[in-house]
Amino acid sequence: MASLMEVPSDQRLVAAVLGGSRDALGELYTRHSPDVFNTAYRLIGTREEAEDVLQDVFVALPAVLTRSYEERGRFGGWLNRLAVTTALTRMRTRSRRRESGLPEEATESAAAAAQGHGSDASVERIALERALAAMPVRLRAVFVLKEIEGYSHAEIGELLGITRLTSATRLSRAWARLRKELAS
Amino acid sequence: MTALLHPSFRRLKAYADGLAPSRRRERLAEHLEACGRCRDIVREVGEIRARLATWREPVPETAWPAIVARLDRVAGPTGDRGSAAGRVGLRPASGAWPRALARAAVLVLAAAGLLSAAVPGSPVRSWIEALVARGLADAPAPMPTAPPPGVEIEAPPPVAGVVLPARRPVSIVVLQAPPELRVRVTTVAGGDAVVRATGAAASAIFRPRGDGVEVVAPGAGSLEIELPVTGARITLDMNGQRYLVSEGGEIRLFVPAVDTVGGLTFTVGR
Repeated sequence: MASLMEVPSDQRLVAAVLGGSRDALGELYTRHSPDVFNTAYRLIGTREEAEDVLQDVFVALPAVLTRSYEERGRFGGWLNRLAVTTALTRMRTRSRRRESGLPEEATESAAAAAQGHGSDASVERIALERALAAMPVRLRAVFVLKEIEGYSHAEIGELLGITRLTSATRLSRAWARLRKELAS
Repeated sequence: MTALLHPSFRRLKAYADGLAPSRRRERLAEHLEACGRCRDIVREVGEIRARLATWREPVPETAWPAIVARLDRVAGPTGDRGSAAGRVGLRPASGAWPRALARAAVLVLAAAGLLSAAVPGSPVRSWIEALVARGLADAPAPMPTAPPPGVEIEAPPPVAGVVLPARRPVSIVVLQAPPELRVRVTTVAGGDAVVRATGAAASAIFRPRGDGVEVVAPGAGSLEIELPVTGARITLDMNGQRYLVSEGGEIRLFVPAVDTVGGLTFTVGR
């Protein structure tokens, strides 16, 4: 009978990373980079900046683990929160000019789709990306965190420094903006 | 004729998400049978949700090699690289953070500020603030214009900053500011207070204090300060002098300022 190969848990990999293992860091990257990247991408709206966030998170991870990680709850959830806060910071610190403009990628993708290069599904996805990109940052952040990442209004309040009520209000506004954008 | 009262969007969304309480769900179902407008909204929410659920972007293949390269630079030629099989570059025992790692954590600094907005004393924030402050403080002198052949040096971070929760009194204290420092204050309707140091000012040390932040020894660049006018009381002091107080939607100035479109610009006095 073939023996089952043991798959190390995240906690074991974390312990190995703390011991200096880059292989363990690589395994954590393999497991969690899709979530980290996609979370950053949905919040920020450009692949380039989402990759920057992904890099920053994993470059800093060994040191962050050393100083602040506690083995409570799921490592993936902890890492996602780190990705969210890193992405939010980047969103806040980039120039207002860039914030107000549509990400170039979304514009280019939409142009390609308009020329018939995309399937129906990809056209719909691009339309959704464009609608999200057109949203003010404060609304998009709440929308993505609540509706895609699954954070509660209380958690969003903590992350953004706003009240639960403000989070709920922004979510309603975000939905209204999104529906309007998609309808147009 | 009886007017048809439509449920709110929030209730329709809760229905679409299957989160409406059973009794309300029954009433909503009855309404939806008769109301095409609300049926369209529920269908629309479902379609958007389906699109969101399948929205996954592939991770760029360039990311991991770039991470490895940055970790290698962090470890440096004398860093703790471990065996050839590969070890991550951890913090050197001297405690001096390499600039590359400090740069990597700059974004996480203000991120930790966000985290701590509702969680005062968050260990993540404390650590990251300390990390970045030390990282910037220990950063090497300005780069030579032509680094030695074969030596790759990362450019200095263009921006350093901190986000401060503005739901309680916040003090922003700038120390050892040079006369050439440009300080621009803009207001936003709500949210957090943000302090950014750009250009040569990014060499500043951001040091947490009990009720805010100290920005120590910024270079002759620019400090960009964003104040939520609807937030709590915020004070700005530079080189021991009070510059402004923002409270209750009003800003009181204690020094002359140039009022430009969308903001105030100060000249730093001695």
